[in-house]
Amino acid sequence: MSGAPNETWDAIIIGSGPVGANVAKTLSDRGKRVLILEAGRNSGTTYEGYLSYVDTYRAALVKEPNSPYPPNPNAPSTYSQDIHNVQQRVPVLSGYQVEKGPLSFGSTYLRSLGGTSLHWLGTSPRMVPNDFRLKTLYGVGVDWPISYDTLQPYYCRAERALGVSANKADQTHFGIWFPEDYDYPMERIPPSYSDQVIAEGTKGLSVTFGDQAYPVSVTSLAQARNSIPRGDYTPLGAVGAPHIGQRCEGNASCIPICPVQAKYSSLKTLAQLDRDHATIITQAVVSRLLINESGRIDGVEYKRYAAEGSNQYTTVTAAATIYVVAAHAVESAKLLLASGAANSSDQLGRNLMDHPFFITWALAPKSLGTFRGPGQTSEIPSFRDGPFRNDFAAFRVDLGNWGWDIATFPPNSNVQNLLNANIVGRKLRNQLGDVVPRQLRIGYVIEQLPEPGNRVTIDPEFMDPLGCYRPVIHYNVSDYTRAGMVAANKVSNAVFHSMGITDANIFTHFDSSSPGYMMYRTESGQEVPLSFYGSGHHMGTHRMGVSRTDSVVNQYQQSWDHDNLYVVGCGSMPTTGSSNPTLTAVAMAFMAADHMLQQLR
Amino acid sequence: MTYSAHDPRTMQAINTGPSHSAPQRTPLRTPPAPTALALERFVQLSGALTGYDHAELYGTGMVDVYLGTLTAIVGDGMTGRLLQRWADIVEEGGGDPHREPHKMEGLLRHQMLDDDTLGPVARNLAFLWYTGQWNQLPADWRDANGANALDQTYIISPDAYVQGLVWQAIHSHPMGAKQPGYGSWALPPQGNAP
Repeated sequence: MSGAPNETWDAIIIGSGPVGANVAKTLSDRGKRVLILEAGRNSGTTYEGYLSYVDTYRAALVKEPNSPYPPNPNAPSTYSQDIHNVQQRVPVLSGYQVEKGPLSFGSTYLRSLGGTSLHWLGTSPRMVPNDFRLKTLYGVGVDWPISYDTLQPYYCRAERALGVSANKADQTHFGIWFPEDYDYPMERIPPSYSDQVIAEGTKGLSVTFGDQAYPVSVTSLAQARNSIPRGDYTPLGAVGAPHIGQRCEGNASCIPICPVQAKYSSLKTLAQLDRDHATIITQAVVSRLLINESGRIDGVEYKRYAAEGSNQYTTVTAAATIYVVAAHAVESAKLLLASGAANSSDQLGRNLMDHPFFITWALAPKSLGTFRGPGQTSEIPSFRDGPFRNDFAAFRVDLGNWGWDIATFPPNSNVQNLLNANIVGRKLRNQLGDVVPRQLRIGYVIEQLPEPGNRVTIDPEFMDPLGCYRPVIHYNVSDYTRAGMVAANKVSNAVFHSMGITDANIFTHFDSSSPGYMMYRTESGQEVPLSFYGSGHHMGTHRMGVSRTDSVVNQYQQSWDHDNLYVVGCGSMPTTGSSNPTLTAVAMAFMAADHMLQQLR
Repeated sequence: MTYSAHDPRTMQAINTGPSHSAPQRTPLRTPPAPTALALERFVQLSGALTGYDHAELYGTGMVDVYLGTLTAIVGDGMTGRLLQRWADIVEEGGGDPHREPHKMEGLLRHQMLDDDTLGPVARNLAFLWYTGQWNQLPADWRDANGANALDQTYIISPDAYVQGLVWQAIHSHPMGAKQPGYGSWALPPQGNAP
């Protein structure tokens, strides 16, 4: 690894998450020489190192998404405990990201080799074709410069690269289509018992918005975790122990960590790189892109630190023919802003979007067998598209398998509450056994529109220990999305009632101290409280578009301002639809990588 | 979907200690080996608090660890008081903790759980068995009985988490451990039938 920076590379890729790793693999498989610079550490690349993450998770008090991965002051990440209610105190400075409000940005990401794919859930639905034409069809947001049909072949490649388990027949809805001879690389993950109870309980149910009734259907979810392979596909097992993790083993801890690595992480792609052509340098925080007079990128400057515990570093520069910024929607925007690059449109850092995650929870009449299996195995896709999008946001309905999880933190909270009431012994054990398996939590992944005021900025007042900028986040949720939450709550009540759950057993409530608490004025003028969580789906900060005035990159994710610069990842998505974005980002990355290969020819 | 924010109220109730990573612990001093009598009383009391039988408790491998944890955090004296109170309850209940469970339950509640000093310790012990987590004792308890530097909210060890009794109580397995196998989640639980 040493000495590498003095060489000249075909491509320097900044970031080793699913996007950076798959670009690196595409280029190096074609003989291009690539250098990957990763700000975080590489402690997960040996099987033993990865198991140390599992132990850290087991001993972590708060088992939040970044809990297995040790804090790294030189490449900091925000932890959920750092996210507070912004309405009570602005700005929030406690974490790595600085929150300016008016609402909290409730999502976190991870800076480590493998990026946030270490802690993601693995949910991998395609976007629906109408998601790409929001402005034309519904008069909101913007259109994409590409269509579903353009992206379709790249979706196929992405599903193979991530190892997605699903059945084509389950996913063919709202115009999503697949090639005749194609199916997912692995069979669908079996739906949980809880999913089956919900499907049975909602048979024949429909929910009406405007003058249209939307039938509720429970459908298997596409997931990047190993199942029974189709054809010649070989599941990718654990890094360093490929016989482990050939199937999802039901550990029920996908977020924050799959102990057997049956869930995809980009560590698997990095492990497959041809090391004659690809070099990885970790603990290398890129601080600046160097731009020459003709507007091309001339090099990158990075700070290589020796250890987490010390802020000693050396500054190194490296040069390549093309540069690929794939450092995460927030980090990529931050780096480009710090470099004075790629921002002639003034769109850089703007249009930050997430899927505000709305949850409802209730007690079912009978056991759902909760706390078993992956976090979610089925969805209700019914509200991913429809005429209602003129009025409110689309959403995907995820059926949780882990009880009330983030709503109340079971089962520990149940134990504590019963003990506080001096309920011990057999009664304690029996009451837990009766109540917790009946906990049902439904999650709503809600679309958010691009808005220029929702943005990542930098400010010399807020720097990290290496002298790099911390991201400063400005964030709000528009009425379009809030109205989507009200609609989601209506769906929720319909589902609960249809399952025989009485109002007394619906426990959804919105706590004014929670970070995502807010009010919404309905059409009838009623003020209603709402609350949301982050989905960890940072999007939009370097969006693609049709012209250099409306966007940061073109459809190949090539900077309008710098020919040899690509900015790839979820930040390039002009709108969010209701699909978890990693699969789409990786599909877009393959499209970009093919374009890079033409440039490098 | 990811889980990234939290309800601070709930969080505070569950977790009051350092949170970003496993806290740096001073190794517990090795307490003197418990007497056979103390061990017997500890297991009996643990059984009464948790609803698990003695073999199940020994089967977790945590009996010695938890008695050692308790002794190190609240001290020999307090541990002795707790176990003596249990012995008194058993005696008052007729000498056999299993013969009249309802009577024993009432005695346990009134003479231990309702006690300002012993109640918080007993509830903590039950929580420890169920979750592998020691909760810092309430502030007024520490004011009255002394604050020990080891009395922090933390999970005893990765193994203590895995051995938490709560998972079996809810008819499942520890999240992130004891993997039940491909497709097991699709089967009816059937463990909850009355």
